[in-house]
Amino acid sequence: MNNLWLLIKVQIQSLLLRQSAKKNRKKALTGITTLLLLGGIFMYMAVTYVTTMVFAFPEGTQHVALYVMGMMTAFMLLIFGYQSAGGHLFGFKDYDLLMSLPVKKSEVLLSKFLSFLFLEYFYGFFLLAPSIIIVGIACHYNFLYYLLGIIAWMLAPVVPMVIASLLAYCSMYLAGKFKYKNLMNNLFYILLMTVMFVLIFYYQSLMNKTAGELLGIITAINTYMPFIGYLFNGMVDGNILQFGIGIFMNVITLVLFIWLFSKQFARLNGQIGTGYKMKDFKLVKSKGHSSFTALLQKEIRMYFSNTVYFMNTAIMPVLMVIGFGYLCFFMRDEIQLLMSQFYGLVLPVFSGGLLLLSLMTCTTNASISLEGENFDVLKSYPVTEKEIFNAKIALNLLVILPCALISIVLAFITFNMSITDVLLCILTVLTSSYFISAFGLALNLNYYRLDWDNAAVVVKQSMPVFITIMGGMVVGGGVIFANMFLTQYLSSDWIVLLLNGILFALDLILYFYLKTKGVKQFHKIH
Amino acid sequence: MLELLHYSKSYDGKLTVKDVNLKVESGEIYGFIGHNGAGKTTTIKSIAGILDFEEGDILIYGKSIKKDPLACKSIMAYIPDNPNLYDGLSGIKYLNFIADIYKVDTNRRMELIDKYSKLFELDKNLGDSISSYSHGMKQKLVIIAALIHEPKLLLLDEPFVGLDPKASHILKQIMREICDAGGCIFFSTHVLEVAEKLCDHICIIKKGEIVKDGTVEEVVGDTSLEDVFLELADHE
Repeated sequence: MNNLWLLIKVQIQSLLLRQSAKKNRKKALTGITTLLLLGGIFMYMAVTYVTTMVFAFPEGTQHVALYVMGMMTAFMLLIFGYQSAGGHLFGFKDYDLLMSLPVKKSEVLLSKFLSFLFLEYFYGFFLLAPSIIIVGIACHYNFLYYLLGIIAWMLAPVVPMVIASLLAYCSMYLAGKFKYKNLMNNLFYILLMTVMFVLIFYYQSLMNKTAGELLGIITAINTYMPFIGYLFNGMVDGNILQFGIGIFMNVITLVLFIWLFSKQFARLNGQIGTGYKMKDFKLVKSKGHSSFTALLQKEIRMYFSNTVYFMNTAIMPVLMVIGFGYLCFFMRDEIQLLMSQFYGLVLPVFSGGLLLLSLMTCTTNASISLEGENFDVLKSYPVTEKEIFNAKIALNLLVILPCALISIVLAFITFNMSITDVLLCILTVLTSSYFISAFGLALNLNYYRLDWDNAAVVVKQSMPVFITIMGGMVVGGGVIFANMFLTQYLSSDWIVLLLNGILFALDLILYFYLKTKGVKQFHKIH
Repeated sequence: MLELLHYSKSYDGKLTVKDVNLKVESGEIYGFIGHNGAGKTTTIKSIAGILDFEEGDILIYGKSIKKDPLACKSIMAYIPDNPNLYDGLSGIKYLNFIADIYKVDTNRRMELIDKYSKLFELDKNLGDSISSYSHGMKQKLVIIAALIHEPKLLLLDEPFVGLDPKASHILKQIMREICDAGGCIFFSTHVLEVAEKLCDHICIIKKGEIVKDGTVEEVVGDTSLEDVFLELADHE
């Protein structure tokens, strides 16, 4: 058995068996269930999007849906790949071990890249595979289409992963050079997410496009993303030459990446591992703080220094505020027209929106897990569990409150809200933000993982995160509709008061839970 | 002063440390020795208030870690065997964080940070991010963090792993100084020569039970600690 195959095998085994080898079966099962649920949601979204496009697009242009989904998948893979390339390709834990083995550097890099690619097939499988099948059925393609589809599915993540790896390398390299390294990282990530959201908005506009405009998308993809464009052209037209060009583009990109990177692999990893160093440090007297303030400051620093954590929780409220600001400033006339017809809906819908904003912004759902192997040391500090919990909750409130308050000010100006309405909105923000902070913490106390290698595992793929994000979307959306429905029976103020009454009751339950069982659970974790 | 009274700890119903009784007097360096998995780290973590335990009690200067954990924790410091720190912070921010947690006066903390960072030759690196530190530098930072709140009881789990010879020598001196000032030290180690030279009292634990306990002279006698340890390890 050659070295490359041995290396790939051990990398993939370590990825797959990590969960099942855990002592705690409950934890292993939770991890696998979360991944499957996440995959199920991806697949549901992909199937919904593709089916909608296939039915909405004019006859003879349904295959454009494949290109649109290919583009979406490439961007999703770029974002996920950028997030996880850090721990997989650069600065990985078994770097010293692998580099000391009598194998070529290119083999180490290729084995790492292929195992990394294998992980990304998870997303590709749930996003791209359903698109290939649905478009194939809708357009009555033959067997060759599906056969080439399997190859396309396997090759499509290659170029996004290479780009993600290069971007991750650049950001990790810069991270060691600047004090406020993560600011750049976070800004870059916001840019990627904004592109993703633009694509989603763009998707909405696709439904009204003519056949000519839709076919123009294919031309654009062939120009700017030829690595998937040629593969799809070959599949759709049954053109082996075009498909062959597509394969060549992807394979040559991978070969060039491995060839060029393996030459510099050791040096690049060495550069990344250095971290930020300050020149001429001088000890100066610092101001003392209370233990709560110290814990909160620590939480804030950890929050902003962990890009995955920051982006997973900050992006949604920021984008919601930007979106709301766009509505207030650029669609003012349409809003005024709607308000004149449905004024009674404004407060219930807006307060539901504030609830949704809070529910979508949970930092506490991973804050216990993120302590990692430092958790034992945290427990040895002379601070109460209440102070630790409060610091974690306070961080969550600090993330939610600015966005929520900006939204309220915008609504106050745009919707001509009364002071009572504003106060009710502020009350909603307070009750809902405490609710999600305490709820996320309670979940993380019960479903925690301290032995992670990459923070993305606990920030993106854990049960508490899944429950708060998906549950938050469902509950937040449900409350908006429920509030609209209730306007038939109750006044706006009473609806918002009822919502706050329920939230306040839940807040009290969670407060007492954390004070009693939460503290006991905290002690059990080690 | 540290006292373990009929201390037992189990994991998933399996007793890993059984009915341990020991006493560390003020001014004493107490070495806790045992093979891998004997229960050393479990015991140290229980003393530090990290792990709950079912039976017995642990008293730190007369106060129970079970009943009054904050009072106990505020007068002791725990140094883990593997320093996993907050990589997002710089060394100085970590030290200030610890000083805030232990409510160390700003002048005193400045004085102690300056003293110990110079002693451990980390003064030039305090502004660097912890992620840039080597294992030994992280270990030094954890030791400085433990010393800046002037603990009466110092708990150390394999403290010499990763330290350079000079830092090891300084740490040994500081351990003695703490004891001379009326404090006490409880530490685990696999380096038997260090234990033999440094400790006043030695305790050997095997499969969760104390098999030998006494002053260095009482435990070692005419042989060496290594001989005693190996004989006990081989004897079932």
